[in-house]
Order: sequence, then structure tokens, then C-alpha cells
Amino acid sequence: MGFLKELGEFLIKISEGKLQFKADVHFLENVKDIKVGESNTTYVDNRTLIIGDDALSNPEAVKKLTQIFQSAIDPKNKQAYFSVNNGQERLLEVKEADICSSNIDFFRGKISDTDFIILQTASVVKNMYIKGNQPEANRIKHETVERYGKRANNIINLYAESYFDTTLKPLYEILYETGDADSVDIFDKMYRIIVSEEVFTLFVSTTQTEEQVYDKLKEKIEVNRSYGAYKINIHGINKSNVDKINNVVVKLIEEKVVDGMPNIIQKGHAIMAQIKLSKREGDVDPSDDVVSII
Amino acid sequence: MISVTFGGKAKRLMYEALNKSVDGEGYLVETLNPKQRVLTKDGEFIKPNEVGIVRPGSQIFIKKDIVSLIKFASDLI
Repeated sequence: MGFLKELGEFLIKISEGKLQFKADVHFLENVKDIKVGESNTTYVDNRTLIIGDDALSNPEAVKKLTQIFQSAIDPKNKQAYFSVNNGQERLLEVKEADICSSNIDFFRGKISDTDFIILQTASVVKNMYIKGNQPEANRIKHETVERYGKRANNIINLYAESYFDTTLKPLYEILYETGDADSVDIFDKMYRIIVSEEVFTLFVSTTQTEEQVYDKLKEKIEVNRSYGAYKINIHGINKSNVDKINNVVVKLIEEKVVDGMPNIIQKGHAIMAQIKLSKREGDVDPSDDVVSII
Repeated sequence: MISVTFGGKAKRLMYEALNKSVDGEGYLVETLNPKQRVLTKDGEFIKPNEVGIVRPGSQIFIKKDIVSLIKFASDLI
């Protein structure tokens, strides 16, 4: 007997005068999810069977339910898997994010296994942001950064701004097309610079003051100059960040750190300002080509 | 495959169904052999509040952290 049928028959049997549970065994055959101990009462909601505390108050009933669930996960049956501590919800979040999409899978074997798993995590974080679930996105990001350090923060930010699709993937393809034996090594070297330094990009957060954004940008400008990279993209979301970025860019123009007017793309409360650094004596030859940074 | 989610007091029921207990340091152990701690697929000991999924059939414990779940989902795809 399947465990679901046995479970249904048992609940119907003990429901006599004790549970509010009303269902027949055939109805229960459509059940796809079972939730135990998350409600006071036992009932069926569409394809979910909720087994409430009312069915768990009797030690004999608990013993029988334990036996039924034992058979469900028995190696010979494999009829169910168990979830606890929001494991099921989190697994669904992972599946929704399409962690094995072609854009993600492109990087399998081209970057380290650790970076690849961080990249997959980045797709989950981005999907959470798209769905408007910012608290969960922040939680996953925090958990990943705590485990892998600042590098994870950089990869998640770069992925969120589509740098893997728009910059790193074309970069690999351009290098690979050259057919040079060292193209993979060159990609690896460039990738490591970009990921470890977030070399092209500055992400402005709400926790930063305008002065902190200015200082961070000046610091990044010097790092980029040392790599011969003369373009920086500044990203920000939320009105306060947009204002900060606009003010800092104006200041840099006045100081002649920036060459010409920045290319600003602004939509609603999201902004990307691309600045071009003015050349100083002794600078590495600038180029518009991303490949020139090494 | 049916998912069975355990919450509240029923978490204990799940560990009983799996014949698992908790040792003095808070790690999951085999009830019939309390010196044998439960290991994840990555060879780590695991505490009850770290468990996310128990794989069907084999009693493989998957931690609830995002990296463990991504590895698990990648195996399924």
C-alpha cells in the first residue's frame, strides 16, 4: 500500500469526532505536498494536506504517523522527501532562478568551482530582487558573502548588473576566437582582476554617505589607472543613491578628474553613470577596448 | 515525489521517523548507534537547525544554506 493511501485511511479513521478533517482516500491521491505541525487543525487545501496539532496530540497517533512516514522515505519506496526549516521553500527559490541556464552554464569549467557556485547563487539573488523579495535576496547575499568573503559580494554585484552576460562572456569569446594558446590564461587573468577588484564598476549603497562614495570612487579611479582602464561605471538604485551619484560626478567634472560629460543612463530610481577619466602624464595608454586592461 | 514539510513540534516526529537523535554537542546521530554522527554529502556533521532537505530513499541530509541547496538542485536537473 502506498504511504499516501495509508496516511489518508489513518487520518479518516482517527477523525471520527476528533478532527475537523473531511476527505476521502481518492481525493487524497491528488495531494502533492504534506505539511505537518504547522497548523492547529487537519485539513486539505487544494493539493496540500495539512496535518495539524489536533492529529498529533495522541501519542499512539504520533507513533502510527511516524511509522507511515518511515515507509514513505524507505529506500525501497522513495515516495517522498522530507523538508524542515524552510528547506522546501528555499529549494523552490533555487529552481526558479534557472541556475543551469545557458548563460550561467557558459562559465562552467572556465572559472573556478567556487566562483561557479557563487555565480549560481548570484542568479538566485537576482531572481529574488526581480520578484521584489528584497529581504530574502539580502539574506542569501549576506549568507554567501559570510561564507566566501568579499569576492562573493563582487560576483553577485557584477552578475546583478549583467556584467557576466555583457562583458565577461563576450570577452572570453573574443579571446578564444584569436586561437592563441594563451587566450584562456589571459581570460583567467583578466577575470580575476575584474572579480577581485570589481575594476570597472562602483556600486553605491544606501548605507554610504556622499563623502564615502566620493572617497571610494577616487580610490577606484587610482586602481583603474594602474590597470590602464579609463572608464568606470557607477551604479545605484533608489533616489538617494541617484542624487549622491549625480553630485559626486559633478564634483569630479569640476575637479577635471573626469574627461567630458559622463554618459548617464537613468530610469526611474536606477542610474548608471559611465565616466571617462582624463589622462595624466605617465598614464598607461588608454583605450576604449576592455581587452586593453591587461 | 511528494514533499513532506515538518514544522513546530512535528520536527521531532521527522527525526524519529529517520531514527535520528541529538548528541550532547547538538549534532544529529544515529539513534541505534549514538556515537555515529550523521554526515552530509560534503562530509560535514549537521545540527537539526541546519537541516533543509532529507533526500528520498537514501537519507542524505542537505543543509538549508543556499550553496548546499544549489548543489542538490544541480544534481536533480
